[in-house]
Amino acid sequence: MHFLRVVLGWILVFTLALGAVLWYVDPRGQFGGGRFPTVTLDARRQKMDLFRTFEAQAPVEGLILGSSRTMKLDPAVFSERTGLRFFNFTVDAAKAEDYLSIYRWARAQGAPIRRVMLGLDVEALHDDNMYFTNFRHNPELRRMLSQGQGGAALVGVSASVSRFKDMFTVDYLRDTLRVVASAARSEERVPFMQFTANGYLHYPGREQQRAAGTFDLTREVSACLPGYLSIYGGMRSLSPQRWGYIETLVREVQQGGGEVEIWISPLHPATTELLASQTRYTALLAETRAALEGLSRRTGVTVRDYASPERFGSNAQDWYDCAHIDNRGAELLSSRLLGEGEDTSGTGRPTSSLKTPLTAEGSPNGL
Amino acid sequence: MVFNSDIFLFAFLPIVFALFWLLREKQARYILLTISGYIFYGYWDWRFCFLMLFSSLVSFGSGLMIQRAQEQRTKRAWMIGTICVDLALLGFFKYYNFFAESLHAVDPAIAPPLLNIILPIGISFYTFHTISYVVDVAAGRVRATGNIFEYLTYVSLFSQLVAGPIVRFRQIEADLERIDKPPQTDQMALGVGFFAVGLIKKVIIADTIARMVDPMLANHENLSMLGAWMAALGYTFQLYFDFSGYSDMAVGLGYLFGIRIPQNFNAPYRALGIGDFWRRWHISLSSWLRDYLYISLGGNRKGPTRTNVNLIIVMLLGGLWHGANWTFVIWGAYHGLLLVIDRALQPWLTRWPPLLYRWSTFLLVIIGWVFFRAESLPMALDWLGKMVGIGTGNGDVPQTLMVMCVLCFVAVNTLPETWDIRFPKTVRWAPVYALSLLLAYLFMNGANSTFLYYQF
Repeated sequence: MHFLRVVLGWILVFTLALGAVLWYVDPRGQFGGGRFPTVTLDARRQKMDLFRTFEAQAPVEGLILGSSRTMKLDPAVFSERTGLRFFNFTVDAAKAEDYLSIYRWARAQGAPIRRVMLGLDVEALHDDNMYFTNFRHNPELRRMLSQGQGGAALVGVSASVSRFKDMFTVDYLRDTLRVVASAARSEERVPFMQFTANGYLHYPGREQQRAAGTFDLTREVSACLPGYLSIYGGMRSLSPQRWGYIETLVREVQQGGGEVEIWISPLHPATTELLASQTRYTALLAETRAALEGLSRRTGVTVRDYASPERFGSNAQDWYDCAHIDNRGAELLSSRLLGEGEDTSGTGRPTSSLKTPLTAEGSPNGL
Repeated sequence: MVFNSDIFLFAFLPIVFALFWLLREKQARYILLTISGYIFYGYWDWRFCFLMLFSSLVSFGSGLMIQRAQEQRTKRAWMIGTICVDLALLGFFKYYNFFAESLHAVDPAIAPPLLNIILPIGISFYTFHTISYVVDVAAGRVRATGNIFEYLTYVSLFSQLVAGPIVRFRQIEADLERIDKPPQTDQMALGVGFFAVGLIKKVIIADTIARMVDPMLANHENLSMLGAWMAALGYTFQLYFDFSGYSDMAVGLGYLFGIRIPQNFNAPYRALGIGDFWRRWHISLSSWLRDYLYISLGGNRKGPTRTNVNLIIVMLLGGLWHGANWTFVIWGAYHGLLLVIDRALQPWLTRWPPLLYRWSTFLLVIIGWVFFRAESLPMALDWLGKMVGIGTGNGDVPQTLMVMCVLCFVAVNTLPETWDIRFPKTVRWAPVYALSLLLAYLFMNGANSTFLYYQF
């Protein structure tokens, strides 16, 4: 027993020592140290900070929600066309719980949200029901999700425990070593992603490569495919719980006097093809379309199907990788969302409810 | 519950361990270990606890009846009756749908209906535990215990409950009898040492290889010839480090509770011949099949032809024991045939240079694992075809996998087996144990992995 106690004692010592180093270096910027560069982006935290400042300047009336696949939609364009002050609150690896909790959080900051534009990823309804790390670590957003259910203190504790526990992974250790090595070499790196004050995303490195003509889209698409294969490889159906969050979001926005517009966010054609051949993506996409159709009938929200680029007049070149559209793709998508370009309704504005079923063979405009 | 999960490491194990050493009475420790075994098992699906309890009670009662019986015929009747009950449960839960589907393919008119049967995890292991117990009692190799909790502890011991090793009552009877003795320092060191090595094998080696091999096999149509070989080699090492890692952890946990669990692996990839391979791989299963099936069939006592038939039957059933799938049947038949050939050619094979014999054995084992891993016969044939250059695709092979395979090949050929490690028992070495466990945890934390043998 003495031996075991000594081993456990040493484990405690090593854990505390390692924890102190990881906390001090803070490679993912979770603890606010700021002594070293960070290697990954936590859009939730960054956008919450940006939103507070943006909202303090003038009330935010429009929100763009979604994942990194919708980050390139420029809120300034939406503000200009609609007259509402928009903020792009899309966050990395967003799931349905993010959409709902972000909306509630924005409302809790006093923002009079009148319009919500939601770029829905099919994987946002993943049946694993697992919180993405950055959501799990975020007590403010998690509290919004469990609003009215009590146990707010427990949510905070759980988020903190989760944040500290997740430090002890080999990936976190690798990130720590990377930033220390980077700092030691005094490297000035071009950040991969950067947000403007209204939540709009820039890819500085990629934009530089584009300008210099050195950007290799084929390589970027190939590099990104395994990640999506992994996401959809484990997805068997749509999560009822997550679908419930979407319905709740729609209901709450409408109860608050606002409008919701939802579109299925696009994937690069190579991604769609690969996912269709190796995963249940096609069936899941069909289920998502059917669910949105039902939602539209019940609530009158506008829904659109922009799952593939040709549906908003784009093509396989308007991309940064296998899932993220570039500036041109984003302009085309924004333009369709704002009712410009080809629009079968002929009104120049999006329809307020779904008249035509969502099908894979729908019009290029979506519906 | 799996050994490499937070719930096990930070809740279940510390609580059970603390209670175990707080409770000094033998009976209290039996009850604690029984309850913890059922919690461990029920964490997956509590309903199947009743199945395990039923199987345990039947064999416990049968053991007592065999013990009391005066006539050999009565003993035999009780033994056969119990084996029938156990095999009926195993057959229904594990093989019903397999046979129904197979019959359906032959003639739907004669096939029974397909049922939505969930395979109870670990049923293959605890069924073999209970069968070995009644057979040993009937053969007089062990005295039936009259202590129900001692017996339930044996069957439901969480360290070897769902993925082995297959431990016989007589192998741990002495330790169970003196379970109320105080802990020994050397056992704690061995427990921690075995557990740390097992965890490292599992989370650092096996899981890393799995992350590269699984996507390759999910897309096996695209495998190149090199890819097909690397996938086979990768899986060969993944399976070994996964299962031997689990067995090491089981042994380590056993030591922490004062129970010595026998060795399950002895450098199997260094075997000289398939017969030697089966003396080194999953020793508890191969020795169980030898003692309770091969010898019961007559072993090698009835002439060379019957010996060969017995070998093939045993390996076929051994294959089927792993899973209700034709791939396992073929894998078993393949090993049965190899055993027969190995026996026939022994005089000639033993004249080979040892390294050549060892590596050719290894090569045959790798080919066998293709059937073991493949999800269906077409997949196995496609994969094997690609290994000989038929229908190859142009899929990539991760360089890391190649490096891992080279390192693993060197390791399994040169490094000592866990059982050959002389774990230092002085506290001076405590920091090394602590660092090893922490390192393994860094790899484990957040990763979602289970053990390959859980499915069997």
